[in-house]
Amino acid sequence: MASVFLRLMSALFALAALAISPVFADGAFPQRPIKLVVPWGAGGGTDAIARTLGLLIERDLGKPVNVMNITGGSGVMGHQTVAMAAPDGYTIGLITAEITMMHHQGLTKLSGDSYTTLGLVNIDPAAVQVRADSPYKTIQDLVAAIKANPGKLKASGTARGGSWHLSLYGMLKAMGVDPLTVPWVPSMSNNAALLDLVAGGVDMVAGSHPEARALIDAGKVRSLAIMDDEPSKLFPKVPTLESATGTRWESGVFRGLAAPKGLPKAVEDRLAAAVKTAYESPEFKQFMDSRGFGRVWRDPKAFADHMAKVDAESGALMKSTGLVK
Amino acid sequence: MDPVQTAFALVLDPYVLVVILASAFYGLFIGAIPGLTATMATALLVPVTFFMPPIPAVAAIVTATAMAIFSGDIPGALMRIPGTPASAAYADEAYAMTKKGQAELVLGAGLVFSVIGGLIGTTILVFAAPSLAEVALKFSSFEYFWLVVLGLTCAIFIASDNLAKGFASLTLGLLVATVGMENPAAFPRYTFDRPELAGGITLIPMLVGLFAVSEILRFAVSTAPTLKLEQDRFGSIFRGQWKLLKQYPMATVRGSLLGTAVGALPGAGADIAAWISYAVSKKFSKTPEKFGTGHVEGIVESGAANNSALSGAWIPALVFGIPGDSITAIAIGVLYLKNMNPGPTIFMENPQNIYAVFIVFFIAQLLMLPLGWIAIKTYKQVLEVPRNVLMPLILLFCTVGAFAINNSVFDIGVMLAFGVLGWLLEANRFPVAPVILGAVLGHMLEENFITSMIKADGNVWSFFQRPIAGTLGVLTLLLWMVPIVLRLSKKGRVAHG
Amino acid sequence: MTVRVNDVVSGGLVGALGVTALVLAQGFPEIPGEPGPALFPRLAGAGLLVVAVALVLGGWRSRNAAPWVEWPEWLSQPRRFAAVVVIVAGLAITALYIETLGFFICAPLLVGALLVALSVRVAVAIPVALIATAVVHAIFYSGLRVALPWGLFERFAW
Repeated sequence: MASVFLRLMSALFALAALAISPVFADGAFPQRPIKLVVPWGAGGGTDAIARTLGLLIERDLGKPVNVMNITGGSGVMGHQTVAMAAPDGYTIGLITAEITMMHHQGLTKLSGDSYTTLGLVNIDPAAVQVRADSPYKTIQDLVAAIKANPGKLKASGTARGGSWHLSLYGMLKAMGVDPLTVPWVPSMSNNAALLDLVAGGVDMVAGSHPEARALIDAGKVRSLAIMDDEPSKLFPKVPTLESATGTRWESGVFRGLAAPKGLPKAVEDRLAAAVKTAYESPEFKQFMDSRGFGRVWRDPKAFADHMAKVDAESGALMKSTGLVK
Repeated sequence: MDPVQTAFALVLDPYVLVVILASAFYGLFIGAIPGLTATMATALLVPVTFFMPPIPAVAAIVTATAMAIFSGDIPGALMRIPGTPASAAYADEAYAMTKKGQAELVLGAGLVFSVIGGLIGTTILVFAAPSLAEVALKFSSFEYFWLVVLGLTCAIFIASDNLAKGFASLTLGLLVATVGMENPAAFPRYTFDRPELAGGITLIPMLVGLFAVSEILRFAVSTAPTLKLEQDRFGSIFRGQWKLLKQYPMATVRGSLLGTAVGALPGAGADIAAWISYAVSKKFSKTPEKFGTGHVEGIVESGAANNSALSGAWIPALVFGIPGDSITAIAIGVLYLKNMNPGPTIFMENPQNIYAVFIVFFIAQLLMLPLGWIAIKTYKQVLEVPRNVLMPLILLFCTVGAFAINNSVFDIGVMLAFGVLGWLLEANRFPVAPVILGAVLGHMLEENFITSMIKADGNVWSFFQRPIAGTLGVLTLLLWMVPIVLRLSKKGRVAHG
Repeated sequence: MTVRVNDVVSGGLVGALGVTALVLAQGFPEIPGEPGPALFPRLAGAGLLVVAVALVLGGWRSRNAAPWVEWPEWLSQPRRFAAVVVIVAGLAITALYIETLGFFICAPLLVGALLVALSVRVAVAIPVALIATAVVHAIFYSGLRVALPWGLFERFAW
């Protein structure tokens, strides 16, 4: 109760102070709490990463970092909130792979260029999963079956035009298979798609290893190949696409911290340093490893380059497969 | 040491017990405030559990959600504002009982049968988890489609005396569900280029508007304070409960079993369990005509169902890492974070942890008896505040609650719009609850229908070709026949008479 | 009570909503091989039309039982009319301006104005509004870390 009273009094005091002195002493960044915007819901993987990073950044900067989940519009709202915020460093956000795709779909004008990048902290490569009792033991089996029965095998993993959809279509295209011979069954989450896979609703699911982990461990689902340059730490026995088929195609989702465009240089450097410190902390390492999330670091420049590369790939893929006009 | 003994040692740690107690009060508080749901309680707990070791972190979530689902009954019974969606199914009924002067009986029934449902659900969770989850895992979009249709059918049947108005409300809810781009084609529908609408209309602000703001508006213009508590002093809430248990043993068991089963189905949580159970109770009742007039039977059954659904939802969550509802979807994140990775290995690697979680489940249910009693007793204090002082405070809570879901001021507008709509619907005798159910199940209905059609290459018969889907489908169609047959036979009798 | 209408009128409104839904759904694209995003909105719109017809028919049969439109009596009672205006306008203003003005201005205004409109004495209303604001802020902002907007007080944020 005492602290409530104190806060009430300090609020009243603040009101008085506002009236008397509009000028407030300027000091080193940060002076007040920072908002960390998450474009996805509380409790998801992106949210958990943001909250862990938030605590670690808070420890470094010495001011509270408050995580705000701004959901809606399949990520558009949250990404927009970060881009449109005042470029003062007090609003930052955990932006995700969707930022490289949404503008192709005409959902927003924002792209990776709309942000001051602070550092990429995670990449989770795509993998192809099938039911444990399915006849497809290798990725070649699966691709051969697709070629033999065009239109019969169904795939799922995310919404129509989502990142896993593009990963799979990109893989098929790279292997010389017409992606449109595998109808995409939209799903609201990778989890829902995997469940449907187990129940016999679809034939394959594209998604990350951490997402499929519980069902792979349960012996319900088998992962055939991962679209990365090295096997995942979670399932090192699952071959990379290149080692299994000779086709090189890497694809995955990423998450990184970003701020609005036009940040003062000093603020940008301070925040980027705090993100790097958080990334390198043993707590973050332990958290990411325990969840099976891929720990990958890209400094602000490399993060921007990564987004530009993924952006170009996604755009070309979406146009060639008719996902966008 | 034996893992069960270790588990007891883990739970009986003073720190863990304090966390359980604190989250119990927190859950009771959130659940008792209209518009703040058990899901929201869980989501808001996540940052707090960051600072805790695994057992207290999971204990906090288990305890808070169990308490919130129960305490959602209190404002439902006393003010006709369900505290959580899980209480919406029988809020009207409970309020009617309060009006008849049976507040103690209905509050006590809510409490006692919540505890019984929770205990039965938890027992099933502990002993039958793996095999039950296997059944749920056989459900593909075809089965889910029928399950949703079954839920909607129940909604219309229990909605109101006027079938047309019930259907109108439900369809309105279904139309609301089509707003936004969260549909299988990811095409933005009815968004009018507002980015806030692209994600659809958020359920919580809508619920707060329909159930709470409309109530405040009604209060503002009422001549007599119509929402005045029918009763501001409660006798023993436990009196008569033993008699109820002896009177409705079947309903209790049926509600608990059905609740657990529905909860274990991914996507269907405590609220759907309550709706289905209420309808089932009415169907099997010896006195179905008493339903809706303040009859305790449906509350016994669906009150047990929504709490057992909570335990049921943990079955697929723990065994396969697949959430049974939105609460466990968040809880799974915490499990991973705390290195208690869900999956069959959870029973092998750290059995003491999982046993400790089970013990917490039982403690939470038992703790509900004394704490629920306190909550009911002090809820009276809350409502002894003059209502013209209370209503503005509730309005502030609603506003903050609506805002907090998405940190969006747009949702305050949504709450206002649905508040006025709910007010108009109510005055013109359109039932409000089906709007919510339509909005919740609309997404599931469409998603499962469209994905099934894609999988089956447009063949409608595929909805009957899988054994479970076929059974559910035929069951649903038979259920649809019931009112038609009843009406025809009635007409026939009239004609002959 | 609020405005009460005969089912012919409410049916007409339901029907109008159905027609609007159907007309707007005309612009939704078709997707080859799938039922497409227009199917469910059309079903919902058509459902509303069917119900509308049923309501209008039922209302027409009982048209003599009640007036077409029954205006509530509070429209002519300044005090209750004011309370409705405070709730509706207060929430609208809060939604529109809380980000610029901040929680510490909007919340006490909303609560205070409604208290006064509901006949609570001003001497009681002001402290209640201020304390409620402080307590709600402490619970949600400090306790649960909901980012309630600071608005004008941004620089004093804690």
